[in-house]
Amino acid sequence: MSWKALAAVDRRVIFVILIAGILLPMVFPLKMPIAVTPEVQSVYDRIESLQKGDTIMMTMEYDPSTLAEMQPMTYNMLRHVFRRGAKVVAVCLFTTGVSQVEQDLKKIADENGKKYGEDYAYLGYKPYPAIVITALGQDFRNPFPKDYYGTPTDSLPVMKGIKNFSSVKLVLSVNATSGVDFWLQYGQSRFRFPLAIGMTAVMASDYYTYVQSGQLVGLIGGLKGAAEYETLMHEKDGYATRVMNIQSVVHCIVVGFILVGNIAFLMSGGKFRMGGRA
Amino acid sequence: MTAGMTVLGVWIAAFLTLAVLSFLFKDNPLYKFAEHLVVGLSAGYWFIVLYNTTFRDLISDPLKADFSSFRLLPQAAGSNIVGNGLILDGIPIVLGLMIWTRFWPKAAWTARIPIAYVLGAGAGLAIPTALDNFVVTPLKATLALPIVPGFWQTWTAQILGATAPAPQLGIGEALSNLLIVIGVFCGIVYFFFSKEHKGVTGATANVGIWILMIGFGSTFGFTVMSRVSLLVGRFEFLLNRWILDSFWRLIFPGH
Repeated sequence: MSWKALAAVDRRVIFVILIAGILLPMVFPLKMPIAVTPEVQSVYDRIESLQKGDTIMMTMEYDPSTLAEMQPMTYNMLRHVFRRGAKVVAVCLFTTGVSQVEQDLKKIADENGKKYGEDYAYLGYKPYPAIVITALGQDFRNPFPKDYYGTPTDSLPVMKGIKNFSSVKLVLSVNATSGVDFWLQYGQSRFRFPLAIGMTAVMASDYYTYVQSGQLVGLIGGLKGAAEYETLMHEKDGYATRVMNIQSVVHCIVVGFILVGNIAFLMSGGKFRMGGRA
Repeated sequence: MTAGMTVLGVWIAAFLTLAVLSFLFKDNPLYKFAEHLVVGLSAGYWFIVLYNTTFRDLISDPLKADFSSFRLLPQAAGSNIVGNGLILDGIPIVLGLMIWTRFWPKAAWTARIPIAYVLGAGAGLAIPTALDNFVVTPLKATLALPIVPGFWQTWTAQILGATAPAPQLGIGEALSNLLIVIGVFCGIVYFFFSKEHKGVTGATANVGIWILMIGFGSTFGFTVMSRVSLLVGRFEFLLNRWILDSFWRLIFPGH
């Protein structure tokens, strides 16, 4: 095969190789080491420092389109919080994620024997995140006089002694939307609460800045972040760890494609110049 | 949810996943069906959630409660009664209705009042927090970054007969911090267009371009990782939940 033919290979061949790269390690699992980054370690340490009876606020803003990335980190962090004996007050400020979040919260709470209303509460959704976050800063009951199921928020035992952000030990945002900016801008910036974020890998590179500036306690980026969290929780066969091993194989294939594509381009007479292709 | 419904859900999800993946071969009616279904479902779901949380919770229920007891002002603090009285609930509703006057040319000017209110309140709320959050705080953090390594502090302290400050910075951390400061400075110079990019300014801007390119590369890498995660997630579902859990048990019940 000539270099020119290689450079013009049918895209479907690439798809088949990628799919094989996913299926093979799924059938024959690999075990690769997962290094923990300081940003994930920091979130873990903050949750580990929670005492029995402490309350955190969890903002879960994702829908089925980003489930593969968001669900593993949500599960891991929720399990960790519940195992520490802490309580969770959750909200979802993303329209299409409202019932997905309810399912995920209930699943992990049931798995850990936690009771609705006593150990956790789900306040649900209200539109316009900037206004809702500002109102939450005054009193959680202002934007959410009732919870997701229509029960008056005040009647839930978990809400006893909880007024606003100053009553919670941590705000944990698992977020696949631009809502992260709202939590930073209208929440952390104004009310100065400790904020940790889990987000899709696409978004992660934009937010490391805020860890360095101290505006975020830590950051969990995509499935890799979830796998790091599993490593810290000593869950060696967790979902994120298994899938991350598969993903590493796919990454190697993608890097291989980039190298082969560039070599084929150069060998078939192409030249690089600053600002684009020659 | 019953076990039968769960199995049906898995089969529907598997069919739709395969329908979407069929686009990799070429565009086809199955892909179009799945695409239209997701758009329609999302719009329907969106409408119901917004109807319940906006129209029902913020307009219809409070107004019903206000009218039924003919309350003009809110109840005492701590009351669980829905509604803030006809005056406080009425003002935002009237403002909202005024936006619709744009459809009647003679009254269209009144729509400017709620729009002006939204813009004014929005800008007042957003500008100080945006400046603080996205500019001032990160800039302050960058300016406060320590860049002098510990060995240098010890050495100068010995020469001057002073005590070196603790804790001391490792050389790797100091270099990393220095790189952040240089990166921010050169990146800003690249966007400084009041002086021609020649000489020292041009060289600094060129470093800025490299810094930006590295940033874009990192974002692209993360994007690939994110998309691969979604793809692997779908294959994991097809293999484990559909083929092994659902399909296999249908053919070989009890295994």
